[in-house]
Amino acid sequence: MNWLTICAMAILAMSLSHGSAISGDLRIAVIASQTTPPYQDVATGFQDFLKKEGVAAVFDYYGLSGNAGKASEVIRGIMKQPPSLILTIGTLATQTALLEAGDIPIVAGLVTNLDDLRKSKNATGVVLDFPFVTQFEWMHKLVPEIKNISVLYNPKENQVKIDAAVQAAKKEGLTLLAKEVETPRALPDALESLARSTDLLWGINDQLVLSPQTAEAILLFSFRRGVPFVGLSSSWVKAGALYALDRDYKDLGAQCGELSIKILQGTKASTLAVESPRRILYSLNLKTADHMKLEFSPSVVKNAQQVFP
Amino acid sequence: MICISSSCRRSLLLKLLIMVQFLCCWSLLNAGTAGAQGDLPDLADPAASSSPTGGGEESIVFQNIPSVYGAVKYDQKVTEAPASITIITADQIKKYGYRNFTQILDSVPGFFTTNDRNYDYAGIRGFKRPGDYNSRILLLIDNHRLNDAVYDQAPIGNDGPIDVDLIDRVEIIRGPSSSLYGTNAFFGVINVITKRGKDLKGLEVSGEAGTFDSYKSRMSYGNKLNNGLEFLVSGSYLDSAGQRDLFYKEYNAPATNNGHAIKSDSENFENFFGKASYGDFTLQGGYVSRKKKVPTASFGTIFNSGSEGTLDQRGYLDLKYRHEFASDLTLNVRGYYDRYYYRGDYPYDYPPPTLNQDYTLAQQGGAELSVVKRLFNRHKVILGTEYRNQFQTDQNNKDDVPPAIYLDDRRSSTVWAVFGQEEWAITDRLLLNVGIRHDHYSTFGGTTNPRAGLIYNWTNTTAKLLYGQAFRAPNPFEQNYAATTSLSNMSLRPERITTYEAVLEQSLTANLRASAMLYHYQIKGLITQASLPGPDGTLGTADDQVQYQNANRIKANGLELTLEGKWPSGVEGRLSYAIQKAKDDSTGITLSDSPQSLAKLNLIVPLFSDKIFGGLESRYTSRRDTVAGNQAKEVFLTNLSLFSPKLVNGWELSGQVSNLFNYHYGDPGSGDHMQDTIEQNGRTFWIKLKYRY
Repeated sequence: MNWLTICAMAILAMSLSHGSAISGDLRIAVIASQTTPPYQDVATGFQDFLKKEGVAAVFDYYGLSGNAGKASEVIRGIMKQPPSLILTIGTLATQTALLEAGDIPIVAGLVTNLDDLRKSKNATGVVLDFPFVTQFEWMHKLVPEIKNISVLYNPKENQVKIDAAVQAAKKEGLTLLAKEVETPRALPDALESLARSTDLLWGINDQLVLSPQTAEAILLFSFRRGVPFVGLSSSWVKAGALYALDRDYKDLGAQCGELSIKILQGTKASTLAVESPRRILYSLNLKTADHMKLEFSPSVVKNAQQVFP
Repeated sequence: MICISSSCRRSLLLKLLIMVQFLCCWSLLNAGTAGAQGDLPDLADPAASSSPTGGGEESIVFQNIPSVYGAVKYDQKVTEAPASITIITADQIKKYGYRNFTQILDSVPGFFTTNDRNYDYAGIRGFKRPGDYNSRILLLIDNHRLNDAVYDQAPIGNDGPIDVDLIDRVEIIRGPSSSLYGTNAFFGVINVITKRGKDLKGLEVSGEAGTFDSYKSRMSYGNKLNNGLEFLVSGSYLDSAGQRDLFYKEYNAPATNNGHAIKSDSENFENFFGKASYGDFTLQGGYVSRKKKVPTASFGTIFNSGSEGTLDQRGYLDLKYRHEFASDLTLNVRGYYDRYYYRGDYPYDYPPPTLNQDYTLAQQGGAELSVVKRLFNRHKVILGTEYRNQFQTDQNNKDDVPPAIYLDDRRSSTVWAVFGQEEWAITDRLLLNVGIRHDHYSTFGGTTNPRAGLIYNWTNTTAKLLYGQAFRAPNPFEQNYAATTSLSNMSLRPERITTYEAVLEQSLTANLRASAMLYHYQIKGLITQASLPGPDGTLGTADDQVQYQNANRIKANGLELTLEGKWPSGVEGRLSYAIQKAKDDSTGITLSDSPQSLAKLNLIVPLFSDKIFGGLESRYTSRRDTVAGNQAKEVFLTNLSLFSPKLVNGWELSGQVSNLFNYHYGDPGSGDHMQDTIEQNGRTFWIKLKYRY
C-alpha cells in the first residue's frame, strides 16, 4: 500500500468519523443524580450541543432523585442493552456508573472528586470547581483589599486540594490560612479562631464543613462577625454569602458534549483531560456588602449574573 | 365579687391592652411565617433535602440555604452553652434606639431595670435589692471585668465606659457562672463585644438632641491597615439639664420648696474608648467621667440644695495575647489595670449646713491565663488561673466646713483562682458540661463553685438541664465602711446561690423559635443591710446604725417563655413573659422591688424597603412591693423608634419616643430615700444624625 492509498484511507476515515459522520445505531444514556434545574440544564445543554453538531443519537434519560439504592438498579438495567456512551450528571450517578458500567465510556458532569475520574480507564468529564488560580483572581477582582483569606476543611477529604490551594494563593499574593476541622463539633471554635485574623472566608466543597447542618452557622458567623464569605453558588449568595462564582450549566453540558464527540470519534476517554467549567458567572449580595462596608464597582455589579439587593 | 373600683378598672384595661398587643404580635409573626415560604427558591429536591448526601457531594452547591437575614437560630456555641443566652446585636441596638446598657437589658426577657435619678439598676429572676449597685451581675467588656473593686458596681447606665454605638453585640448569659468568672457572676453575666476597626472603616461623627436640653456627640475612627494593625478610637460627650422641676410629695412643705426640686437633675459625661490589635495581641482601654446631680435628697440630705451629686470616673487598660497552636491548643493570656474614683457630695444641715463628701479610690491590677484544648474530638477542656491585686481600695468620708473626718479607710486585698471546665460530647447529640472554680480571697478565705449542664440537641430542639452554684464576695464597702451611722463587718462571708434550671428551645419554623425556662434558686447568707440599735440601745430611733450582715435566705421559682422570629423581609420580633416569685425563706415575705410578672414585646418592621425601619417596644411590669411595705403600681411602657440607615448617602437618621403614652409611674426607692417610689420620666424623645466619611 503506497502512501497515497494510506492518505486516502485516512481522509475517508476522518470524514466518516467527523460531525454528522457519527452515525449508526448510537444510544447515549444520560443519568442524573437529581432532577433539579442544574442537572436538567446540563442534560439539555449536552443534547442541544450534540444535535447542533449533527450527532444522530437516541438519548435515554434516567433520574435517580438522590436515591443511592436505585442507582445500581438503573445502571444494571441500562447495561442489559449497553449504550455507546454514558453521560453522568452528579457524583452519585458518576460513582455508580464507574462501578457498574464496565467498559462503556463515561463523560461526567457536575462532579467534585477528580480522583474518581482520574482512576478510571474509560471516563473523563467536567468538574464543578473552578481552578484555584481562577478563584483567587476573582477574589482579587471583587474584593481588592483582601490579603488574608481563610478556609475550613476536613483534611481527610480535602488535604490535597488545600495544599494546592495554598500554593495558588501565594502566586496571587494572598495568604491562605487553612484550618483543619475534623468534626462538626470543632466548627464553632474554628470559626471563632478565624474571626480575628482573616479578611475573607472561602468556602470549598467539603462534606464535613459545608453541609446543610453547618451552612447556617457559617453564614451567621460571617454576617455577625463581618467576615465576608465566598459561597458555592447563587443559593449561598441569596442566603448571605458575599459572592459566589457560578457556572453556566447548559454550557457545562455542551462542554460534556464536546468530550463525548471526541470519544465517539474514537479517542480514549482516559486520554482526555478532566476539564473545569469554561464559562464563569457570578452573583453578588449587595446587602451583605453594605453590612460589611464593602463596595463593588458599577461594572462588577452590571456584569453579575444575579444581584441580590 | 366583681371589681369595679377605678384602680381595678385601670388594671383590667392594662391587662386587656397587653393581651391585644400579644395577639397582634402573634398574628404578625404568623403572617411573617406565611410570607417566608414564598421566598424559598424551588431548587431543592425533596429527596435531597431529606437525605443531605443523597444527591452526592455536589448537593451542597445546589441546595437551598436558609437566609442569614431570617436566621433565628443561635450559634452552636450558644445552643450548647450550659446556660440560657440572649444576644442583642448592633443592628437591634440601632433599630430599637437603645442608648445605654440599661435599655438593652430592659428589653431582655426576665430582666427589669429601675432608676433612682442617680444610677440605673438591673434585676433578674425577680431579684433586685434596694441599694445594691448591680453587684450580682457581672459586666464584661470584651471579657474585661467592669464591676469595680469597692462597690462591685456594674455600670449599666451612662456611667459605663463605652458608647452603645461601639457595641457589636451583647451576650446575656443567665444563671450562675462563678465556676468560670468568680465573684459577681451570681445571677448572670453580660458580655459586651465591641466593634473592630474594620467595622467602622473610616470616620464616624454623630450628634443627637433630646428632651431636657440633652445633647450628645460622638466621634469615632476605625480601620485596618495593610500591615494588619487594626484599631478603633472613639470619644463621646453628653450634656443634659435633666428635668427642670421634680415634685416629691414627701417634701411638700414650705421649708423644702413645697416638694419641688429645681434644676437638680442634670447629667454630663465624657467617655473615651480605644482598641488596637496586631497579630496575637490586643490592647484595649476605656475611660468615663460622669457627673450627676441628685434631686431626691438621698441619705437625708438637704432637699432642693442643688449641690447633691455624684462623680464617677472609671478607666481600664487590658492587654490580651491569644495564640492558637497547631495542636488544637489555644493559649489566652491577659494583663489588666483598673481605676475607679467616686465622689459623692451630700449637703447636710446639722446645723450648721455643710457639705459631706464621700471619696472612693480603687485600683487593681491582675493577670489571667487559660488554655483551651480539644481532646479526642469529643472533649474540650479549659484550664485557667487568675490573680487580682486590689492594691488600693480607699474609702473616705468627711465634712467640708467645719472639717471633720469620719472615715479614712485604706486597704488592699488579693484574690487568686484556679478553674477548669470540661465539655464532653457523649454522643453527637448529648453534651455534658462541667466546670469548677476555686477562689481564694485574702480577706475571708476560699470558696469553691461548681456548675454542670446536660444538653441534648435534636434537629430543631435543644433541651438543657442545668445546675450551678455561685458566690458574691463581700466587697470593701460592705466590709469596711464605718462612718457616723454605719458599722464595718470584717466577718462577712460570701453569699451563695444554688440554681436548678430546665431550658427547652424549639425552632418552630426556619424563622420562628420558642423557648421555655423553668428555674429554682436558693440564696444563703445574703449580704444585706441590717439596722442595729445606736448608743441609746433602742432600735427604731434616730441614732440607729446600719451594718451589712449575712442575714437572709431567699428562695425563688420562675418560668420564662419567649417566642422570637426573624424573617428575610426585615421583620423581626420577640414576645416574652416571665412569672416569678422570690421570697425571704425565713419570713415568707415576697422580696421588695420584685415584680411577679414581666411581659415584653419587641418588634422591628421595615416601613420603606430597607430605607426606614420602625421599632416598637412594649413592656409590662407588675406591681412591686416597696421598702416601706406599700406597692408601686404596675408599669406599662411603650417606646417607638425610627431608623433610617441610608437617609442620604453616608447619613444615618434615628430617633425615639420613650414612654409614648406618657404613663406616670415610679420605681421603688431604697432605704436611702425618703420617697417610697421615685417618679420616672414621662414621654421623652431624642433624634440622632450620624455621618460616615
